[in-house]
Amino acid sequence: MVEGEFKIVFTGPMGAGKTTAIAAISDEPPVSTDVVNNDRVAFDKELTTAGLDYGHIALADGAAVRLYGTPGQLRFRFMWDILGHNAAGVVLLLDASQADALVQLDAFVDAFGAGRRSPIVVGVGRTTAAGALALDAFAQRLENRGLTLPVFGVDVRRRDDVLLLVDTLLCLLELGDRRTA
Amino acid sequence: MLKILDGRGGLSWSLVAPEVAEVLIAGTHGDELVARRWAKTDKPLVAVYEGAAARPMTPYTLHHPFRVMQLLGVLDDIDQALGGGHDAARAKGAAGTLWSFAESLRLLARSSASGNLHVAGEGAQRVFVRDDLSVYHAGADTVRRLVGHSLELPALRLAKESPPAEFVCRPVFELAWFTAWHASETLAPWVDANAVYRLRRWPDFGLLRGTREQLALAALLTHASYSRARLIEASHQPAANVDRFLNACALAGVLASAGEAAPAAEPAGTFIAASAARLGGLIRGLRSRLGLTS
Repeated sequence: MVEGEFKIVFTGPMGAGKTTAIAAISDEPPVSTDVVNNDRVAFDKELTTAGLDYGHIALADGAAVRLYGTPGQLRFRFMWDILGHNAAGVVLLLDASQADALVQLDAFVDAFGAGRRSPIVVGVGRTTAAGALALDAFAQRLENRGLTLPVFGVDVRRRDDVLLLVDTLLCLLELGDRRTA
Repeated sequence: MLKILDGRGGLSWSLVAPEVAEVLIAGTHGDELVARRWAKTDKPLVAVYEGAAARPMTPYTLHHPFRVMQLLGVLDDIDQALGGGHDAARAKGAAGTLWSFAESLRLLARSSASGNLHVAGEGAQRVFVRDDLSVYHAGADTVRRLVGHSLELPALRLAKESPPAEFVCRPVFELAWFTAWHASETLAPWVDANAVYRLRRWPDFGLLRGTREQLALAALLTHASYSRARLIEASHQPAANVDRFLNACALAGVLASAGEAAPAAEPAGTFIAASAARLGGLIRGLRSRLGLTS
């Protein structure tokens, strides 16, 4: 981590709202490296992130918080490691209406160190969609593994929900910071 | 048991038939029908559980085998919750106002779900709870009052009627959380001040709109197990805040006492900050920029 700045990574599968979440708090609209989505079966949207999304929050003292969004598709998995390196914290966004959402939960939690390298906060969207998994299923999945990560039902189109995820991350970071003092 | 109790508790206890008893004690090997009938009474129930079984969702529990002093301690807690036993009628009223609805909600959790609805309150203020503890039904105004204030509902009883069509359907988690949060600034009868607690899982603060103080308490209970006293000390928060939080987490079913059987944990479910760099200034700066200052 560079002195005077830190990095928050937004990760999760395609269509979970990573770009939207970064846009909600970034000073500038996020810079995205989109490509044409050739996996319309998995998620029906025209463009998807291939490399990364990038947002930025300038702080008063010249410091900066960098916001990175990872690509959602497994074929760009190598980017998760690159972007996750030295991240202060990870916001994992999931879509409860996707049939394999629990498998995705496991995959992304494991890929980012299961909360041991840096704190992970999980935001689950579309919990009220028809056929969607209940939020409880995500919490139970983590509980069964002995992991106590924050899991919240959110709508990342609402800035307050994104702020809740970031504030929770900061509370966990603060605690880790205090413990290493 | 009477012999054990004789002369050692704060009160004199005697063994009587369940119908006339003021306190009931049930084990895991008892008759399920009888236990369910007991669970529907207003009487305090001490649930005895064994081995690696999950702690029953009742205010008063004992893990078998238990020491005599643990049993006496539970009975003293019940006596205290009922107002010291000096004025039974007054005490019962006070306890009823504060915790009778919450206790009935917890008792409902220990009975087998059969698809029934239970109800508390009258008229438009009624609250219906499904016995699988998935959802509750209430008027929109009642939900608003639940979130903002204490509802002071009586104990739940089996419903003979269905919820009116205009009632909204909400997660029971919300009902449990706010019921306990608003009930009292001191510990609920079922939260042991001397026990050591951790979070089994985080409350859904997306639904509850958690405050910074609540997020901080949850973060602490994620990292380690704390007694009430240590949590007050570590969080630098008023005792009333901590007690409300423990009450709400306990009733909502997300709090575990450290002695309870936990799933085979992967190595440490919490992170250790990788960098020793001080983040305090950055965190304060980011909160300030995002309007998150408390």
